Amino acid sequence: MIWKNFFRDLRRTASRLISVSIITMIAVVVYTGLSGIIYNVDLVMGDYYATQNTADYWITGTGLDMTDCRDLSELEGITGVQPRVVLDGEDRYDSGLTLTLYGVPDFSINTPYIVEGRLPQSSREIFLSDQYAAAQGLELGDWYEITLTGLGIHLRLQVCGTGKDPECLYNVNATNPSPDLSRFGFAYVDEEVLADVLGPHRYNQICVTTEEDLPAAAFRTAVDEELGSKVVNILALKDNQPAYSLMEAKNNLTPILTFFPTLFFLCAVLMMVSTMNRLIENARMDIGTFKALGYYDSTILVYYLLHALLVVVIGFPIGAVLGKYISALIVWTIATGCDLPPYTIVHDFAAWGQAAGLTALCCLGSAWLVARSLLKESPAQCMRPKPPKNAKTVLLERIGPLWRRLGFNAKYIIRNTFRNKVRMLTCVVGIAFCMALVFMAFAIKDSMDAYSDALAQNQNSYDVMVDLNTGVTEGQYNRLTTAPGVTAAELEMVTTCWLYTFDQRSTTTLTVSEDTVSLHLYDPYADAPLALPEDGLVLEQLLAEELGVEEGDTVTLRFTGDNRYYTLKVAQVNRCVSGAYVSRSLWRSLGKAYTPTAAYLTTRDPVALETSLDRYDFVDGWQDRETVTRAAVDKMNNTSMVVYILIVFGGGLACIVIYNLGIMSFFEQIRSLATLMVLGFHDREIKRLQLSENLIFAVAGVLCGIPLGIALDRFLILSITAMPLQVVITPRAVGLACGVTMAFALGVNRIIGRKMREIDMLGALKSVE
Amino acid sequence: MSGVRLEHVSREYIMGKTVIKAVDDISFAIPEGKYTIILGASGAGKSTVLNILGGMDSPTGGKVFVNEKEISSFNKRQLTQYRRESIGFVFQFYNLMPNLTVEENVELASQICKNPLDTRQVLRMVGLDDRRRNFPAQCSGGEQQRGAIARALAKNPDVLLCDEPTGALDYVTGKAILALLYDLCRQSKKTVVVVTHNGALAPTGDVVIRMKSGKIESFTENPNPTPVQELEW
Repeated sequence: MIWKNFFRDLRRTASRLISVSIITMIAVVVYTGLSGIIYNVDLVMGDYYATQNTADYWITGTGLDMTDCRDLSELEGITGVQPRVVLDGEDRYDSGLTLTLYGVPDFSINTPYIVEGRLPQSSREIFLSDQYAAAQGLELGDWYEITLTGLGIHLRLQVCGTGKDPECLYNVNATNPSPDLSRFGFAYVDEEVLADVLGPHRYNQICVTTEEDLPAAAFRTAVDEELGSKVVNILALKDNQPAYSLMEAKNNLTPILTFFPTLFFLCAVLMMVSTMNRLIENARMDIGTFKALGYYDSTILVYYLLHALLVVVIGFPIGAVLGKYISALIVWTIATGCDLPPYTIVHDFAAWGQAAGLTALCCLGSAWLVARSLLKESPAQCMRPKPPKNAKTVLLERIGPLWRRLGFNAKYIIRNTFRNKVRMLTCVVGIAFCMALVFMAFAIKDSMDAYSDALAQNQNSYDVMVDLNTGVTEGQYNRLTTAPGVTAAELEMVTTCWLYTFDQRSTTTLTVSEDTVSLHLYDPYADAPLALPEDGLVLEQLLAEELGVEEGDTVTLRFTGDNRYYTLKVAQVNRCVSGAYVSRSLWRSLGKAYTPTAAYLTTRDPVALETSLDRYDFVDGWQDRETVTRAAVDKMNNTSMVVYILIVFGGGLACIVIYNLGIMSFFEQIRSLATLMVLGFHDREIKRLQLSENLIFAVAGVLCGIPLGIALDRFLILSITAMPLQVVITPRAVGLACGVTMAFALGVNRIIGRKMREIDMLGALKSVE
Repeated sequence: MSGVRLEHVSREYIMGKTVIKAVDDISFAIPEGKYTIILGASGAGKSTVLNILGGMDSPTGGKVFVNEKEISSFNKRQLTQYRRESIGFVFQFYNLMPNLTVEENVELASQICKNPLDTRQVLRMVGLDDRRRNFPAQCSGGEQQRGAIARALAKNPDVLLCDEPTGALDYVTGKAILALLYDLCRQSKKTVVVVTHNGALAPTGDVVIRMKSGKIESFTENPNPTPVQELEW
């Protein structure tokens, strides 16, 4: 019979249990959904890399040959070596259609994913990226003519297949900062096709696969010793942006993906504990009756644990199943621009397990704690209403003149509000949490917008960025500065180097800039032109942390092909730069050759400048400012999407929390409300008395939520290391978050207001307190 | 005629397929200012009659007049207004607001009606002036019921309705409460209707209505009621 009572009980407690189930569901959705992103991206990319045997390292160099490959393959930990020729190509009749051309002896490493046809089997065939081929209307068997950029060699090859390449996942280069698969593609040909360029069996790149546990530093040292000055650059998979883009996007999200679910779960736990607490506390009379009838404590405990289990049973599966769709949506968003073969998003069962454990722990644990404490009381104690607490006067009452001036309604509301401190605290903390979540989502968006604006307005005050050939002469630079319409020019040289400290080593890009950079400020938030220190280098904060150095310490640099070591002071650590920066004067003082790789120009006449640039053979390509900025902003928008989703969930959670708290408070006071009805209070008067309390809680929660949100936002922004975001607190974000939370509170009040109409005066007053 | 009048009043409750007749075609009239006892066993329909008189429930048939106003035709809002201005209700379990002091509970009622009585004066009438700053939880059952009576009286209602007002009290306290109600009726000339299952109280009423199975079993007017103080049971 006790179980019959259980099911009848459920009807009474349904609305409260459902609201907690929804909160649990949201927490599970967020947890499994966001964990699923990490899981699925790792899975999709892991499979893709493994199936296509993607290289772990790309060694770029000069004069590489088969002997080098043999030497490399004998090194410990290396599992595969593939030499190749990498060249830039373009459509013979449209130089705007460009390709990266790979001439390979075999397809053992970086095997392209075939969409149609097959891989080249002779020196007359070409395998093209599918979207590029489709955009040019090329089909299998068609002949395609290309020109090797800068070399003037024309090739006519037959299309044997089309497909995708994990190496060109996010296919960008210096002139195409964001992927345009229809205009910039890749092509694989037999090495013989390109033999005329470097000579037979001469290569400019070697792809290497290694054992998983081979340390990067050990590999670099070994390659350096083996190939010596032939090596220009060693690129690891994780540093290869086109190949690693999606993984990097996922890594950028990791702080958010870890932080938000934790917060959502904390919120769910808070609600779970308070709901179960009240549910069981309100049933103390029933518990007393069961005990008096002779039911064992264990039976009663199970009776109430089943309520909690029901919350898990309803909330968890729905949340876990929905989580996959959140993962799918976000993976789809961050994979925008990535040329991926068809992939399937799967459930992250490990996350299911963790979420199930967390949910069960929160729900059953809180129910167990509350029920246990009540079961310790004697049946007689349980059957008596909980004795009222001694402190019944509120602080305001002690200020006599003020208290006496208050109207009756105000007194009633203040008493009611402050008497039950636990309820007040739960409500305020719950709403503050939700407010903080909503606020944080808006604030992160603001920080991202500020970064975008800073990029657009401060960093890039140039009009055109020009990529230069290596080996350009000083005279040629001068032709740039005197090109038609050019009003200002700044040069920049990017190279790679080893950075050593006493016990750490790292490779990074070293940018040699003008002493004073004014056209392309690399600190997006700096208002004034940036002067590079003359006495040392500027180091990216992450890199400095990795090397364990601070401002004032020294680091040692070594460049590929140069056996000398250069020791420099770390003059500045900055979270906005990428890699290391030195001024041109300092670079020259080291006795190093200055060979700029890029130029930033401002111009009065962009059309004339672009015409001239097309004529200069030392110019590899150029982009205008908008293109560069757009690429950066596009990448950030992927993160924004995640933030938008979190806004929706944060808001949803806020809504449910406020509803849950409101409805519990309503049920607890139903007897008082019925009394007010009998006394002749009109509906609107009762609503005013009752709902004012909810509004006071909401206002208090919103006010507490502002500093909480600011603190959480600060923590999160500073932990998103992939982007140099700054904490931006705008009145708009505060206003919006307050508005959203208050709108939820008012909406919930409306719902509870409607529920008041359903109060059965007689029924409510019949039961004994 | 002023006072309370019921004409062929019925109240049916539909529970699934079953129709329960809580009150079945009853008619009676209570003149103004009379101390009335409604007697009956559990389920006789006496509380339903009281709820209908108090504007907390509406009849499904018949007409109810209170001081010549037909309350059975009132809509929800009119019923609220009626409860607000014309009715004082005393419950078996007091139903005082736990967060308000006794005095504030009385103010709760007096602040919403047109001609309320002075709170302190009412509290003195029920003998609770010295306990007025106490919260309900700090009062005994008898004191809480006095508080509830004070709250009902403060509205200066036309009719005071009491549903088993001594049901939760011991003999001595219960007798004191009934005596209070009796005296108030005599002093204020207000109609007081007391619902009880205790037949021993019948001699105290000016009017005694006995109910059984939703019908009136007997309607007696008592020209010489026995004061509550003199009654033993």
